[in-house]
Amino acid sequence: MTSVRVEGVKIIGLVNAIPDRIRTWEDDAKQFGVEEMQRVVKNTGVSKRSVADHLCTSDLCHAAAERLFEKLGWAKDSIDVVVMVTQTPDYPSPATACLLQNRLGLPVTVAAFDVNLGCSGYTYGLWIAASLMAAGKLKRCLLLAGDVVSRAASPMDRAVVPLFGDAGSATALELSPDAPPMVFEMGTNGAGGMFLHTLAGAAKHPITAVDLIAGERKDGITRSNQHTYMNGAEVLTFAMVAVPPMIEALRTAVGWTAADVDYYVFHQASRFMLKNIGRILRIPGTSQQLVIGLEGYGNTSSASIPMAINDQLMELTTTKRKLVLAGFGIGWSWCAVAIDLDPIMLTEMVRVPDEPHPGDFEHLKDHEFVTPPVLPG
Amino acid sequence: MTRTEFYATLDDILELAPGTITGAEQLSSLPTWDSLAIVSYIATCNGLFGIVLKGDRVKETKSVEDLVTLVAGHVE
Repeated sequence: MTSVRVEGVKIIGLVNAIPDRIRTWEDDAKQFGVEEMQRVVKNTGVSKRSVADHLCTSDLCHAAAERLFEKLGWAKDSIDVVVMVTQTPDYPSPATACLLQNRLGLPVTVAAFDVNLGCSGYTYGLWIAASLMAAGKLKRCLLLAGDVVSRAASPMDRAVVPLFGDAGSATALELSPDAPPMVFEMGTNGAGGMFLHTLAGAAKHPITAVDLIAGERKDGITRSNQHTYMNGAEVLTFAMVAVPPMIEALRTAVGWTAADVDYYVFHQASRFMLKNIGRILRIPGTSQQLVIGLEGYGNTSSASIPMAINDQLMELTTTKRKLVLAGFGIGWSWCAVAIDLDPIMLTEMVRVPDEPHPGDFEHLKDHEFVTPPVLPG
Repeated sequence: MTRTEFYATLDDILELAPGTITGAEQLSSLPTWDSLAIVSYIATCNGLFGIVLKGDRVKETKSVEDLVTLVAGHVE
């Protein structure tokens, strides 16, 4: 495990955006059954989710970033770098960060790139952003983290559908010599990739006709090879084994006792998983130290930590708090950070109308067929 | 871990008020001892004691005392 200390960078504020389309557990019950859904809700702690039929990660992060600029009064040309964390980019290429530089009207002098991480992505993003800023003396960074996981799931996957929601976040970071250090702890175990992945759609497994077929698989789930595959039991085992030692190592590195931490904001995998991790870390369920903020939104992948902060910790706008944030999951990949956080700007979540977007390149003449193809069926 | 701490852990897994489990209970008398609780129990023992319990062995247990026996050496 790697431990890193970054000095002189401060989180100034964050904004989240969600689709305005709500799916409740009652909606899910029509498909999966009332009894099954009552069991699922008790387990996951998710009773409704914001989901996108049309919106992309870029649309949600764009809305969040615009509100962030407005609230902070930051000029667009004051941004030096954009770090975009997502596993559900708009297009296979180019990077979503490049699309957003253009759509947000950021200067062409900005550095912008994507990071392909999911559940561990927000904390990884903070580390990347803070490290770049500290090393290069870059004044301001926009960290965008979001996913439209619901669009990557098989609509017939009862393990995935009722749990996941869509969201985009925008976090403002600024170089500030008097900022308390951020201390990071991270790790990777690629052997876990087999338990959580998407099979088809890139170079190892380009999409062919068979990959479009949603059929029942031997694990009992009906999906296509373009849908996300998840082995829930293995995810739980991984999290229970990897997360507690990471948190203990982090507390040692930063010199905090368990009681020094005001709030643990973990990736909002599910209520069941958070409770189990809390138990191993001996965080009493009654203490409010363990933040659970996914009830109305679901597991929102790379956006889940800022979403939980927004949902549960509005006190951060006025009060200095010691936080431990920890992302963990797909990869396997994990990263935690300890921050002695000065008050930050938080505001109401932006609700984005779930309407079709014309696309960035679809209108290009060059894409038109010389002879329109005849589609089968 | 002491027996008292172990019983408190079971209270938490079963979502019972602290102090509910005293050690004499039959699992069939605890409505929240279900498949999810079994998964929690296995995951918790893995995290707390570093031991991997087989699902079948946990499912066969009848009493709280049987659960203590499964983690013999880790609970005093």
